[in-house]
Amino acid sequence: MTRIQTVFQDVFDDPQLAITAASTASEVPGWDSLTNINLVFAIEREFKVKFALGEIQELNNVGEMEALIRKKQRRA
Amino acid sequence: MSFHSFAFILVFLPVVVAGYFALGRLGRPALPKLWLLAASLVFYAAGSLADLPLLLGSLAVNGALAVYLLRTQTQAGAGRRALLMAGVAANVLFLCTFKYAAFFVDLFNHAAGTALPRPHTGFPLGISFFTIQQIMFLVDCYEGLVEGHNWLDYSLFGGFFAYVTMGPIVRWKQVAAQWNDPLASRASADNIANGLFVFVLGLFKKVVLADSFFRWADAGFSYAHPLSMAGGWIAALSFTFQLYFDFSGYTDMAIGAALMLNIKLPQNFNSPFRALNISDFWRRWHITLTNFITTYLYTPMLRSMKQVTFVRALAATFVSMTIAGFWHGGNWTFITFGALHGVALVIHQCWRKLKRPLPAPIAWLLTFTFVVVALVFFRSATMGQALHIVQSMFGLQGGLFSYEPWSGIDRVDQVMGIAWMLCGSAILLRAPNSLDLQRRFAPSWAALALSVGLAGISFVYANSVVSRSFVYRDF
Repeated sequence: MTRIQTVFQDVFDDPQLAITAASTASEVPGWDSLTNINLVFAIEREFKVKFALGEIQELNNVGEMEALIRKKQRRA
Repeated sequence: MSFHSFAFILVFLPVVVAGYFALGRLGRPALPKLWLLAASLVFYAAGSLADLPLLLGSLAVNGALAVYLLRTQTQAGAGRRALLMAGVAANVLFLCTFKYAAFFVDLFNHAAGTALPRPHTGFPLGISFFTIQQIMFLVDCYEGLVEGHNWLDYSLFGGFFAYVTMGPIVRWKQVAAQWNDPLASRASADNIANGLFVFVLGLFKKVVLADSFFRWADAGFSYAHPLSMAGGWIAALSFTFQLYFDFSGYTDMAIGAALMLNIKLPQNFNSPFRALNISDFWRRWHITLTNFITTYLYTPMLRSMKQVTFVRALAATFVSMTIAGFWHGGNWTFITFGALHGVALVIHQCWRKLKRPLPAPIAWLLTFTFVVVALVFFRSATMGQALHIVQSMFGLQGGLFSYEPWSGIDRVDQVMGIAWMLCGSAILLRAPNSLDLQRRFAPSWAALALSVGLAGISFVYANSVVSRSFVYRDF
């Protein structure tokens, strides 16, 4: 989660940004489709994984994103 | 057959629901699904029998492609990717042939100075919706996100009557597992009650509210003389409210009908006119289309770039929205509608970089005004008509207020029109939306009385000459 938080802080350009597993796009100010795609790309680079297009749409909160990263890392 | 027709409400839906649960008791899971598939084909054929072969053709071709993509899931190869691209291209070509042929012929004639005959075929029912659903399905098959595929489930997924003509646009994962739930074909009193309630809400929104706003919108848009500022705003606001109540009413009916059959469909609207910026608006308006645009248009566009910069992301936003506008129909008015939203989203992104948020009332007013103006292009048959209304809205044609003799609308009716606008604004900005009401719903005598009351009023309206077909049926 710390690594994910760092990616979020980079993408949102906000070193104070604190996220939890339950954080959703509607709760974090400025989390729109452009930020979301930047987040996805940044996370893909950081964790060396690749999300399917449909998977990006299904993510409802940060916890689900973390679970998907773990699942992909296990498969790799 | 439309959701708000007596044939659908009093015959089709009750027969389909009763038959589904009766077959569900026989212990053969395929039977209720076959029943739903047959009902869906009857529903589509009743809407447009001539287009049925096209729907079936699309199902057959995409189904065969899907089988290949799923069989070769474990193989990573250029051939598989090429097949996906060919499948997507075939779907786009299919859509272009039947929906945009006249537009492209006009464009060619204009550019080349030729006089090729313009095809006059009306485009097939639901083609815009079922085609993009098939594109998403093929991509999901390619990316390994489709499980439990078989021809019966797939055909039902592609042709389910609740969404085949006008959405919500669904993905395989959202519905397929629901049909295979052991309890799927067992009647659930809660789901039937909740589904009926939402269906009635949607019916009321469509036949009472949307069809009433149609009158004011149509009068203003078809008025060929200079309009006053008030006249322009009444026409534009009426259409905004008409479209929202029409399409969200339709969606409520789709969600309600499916829920009676234990199928939960995704939401399409969440009080869009309360949005404080244009990005927020698209998260609340036609949500399943927005999801398609961001996931299957915008994201691949950015992924194809070696390096994503802010400017490139803005360009992708603009292009995606212009395509989304064009998706509605082959007319410059739709392209302009999409491009305007693209520009607005770009401006919003740039403004956000400045980190100087506007006060909420100003942000709301800007967003709402922009949405209303852009919808003028959406509604107009020609660019000339759109500019006529927009000019009047900014006082460039007539005075502030005048008693224009709109076609069939006299002075008293104009005052009534203003009252309807205020009433519509109050509902959209203050009243709980269908999603809130559905969440809060609990079977009670009060809920029953409300549903029966709304249904009764709706039936009176549906039985009158006011009743019209859905706006999105033409897209």
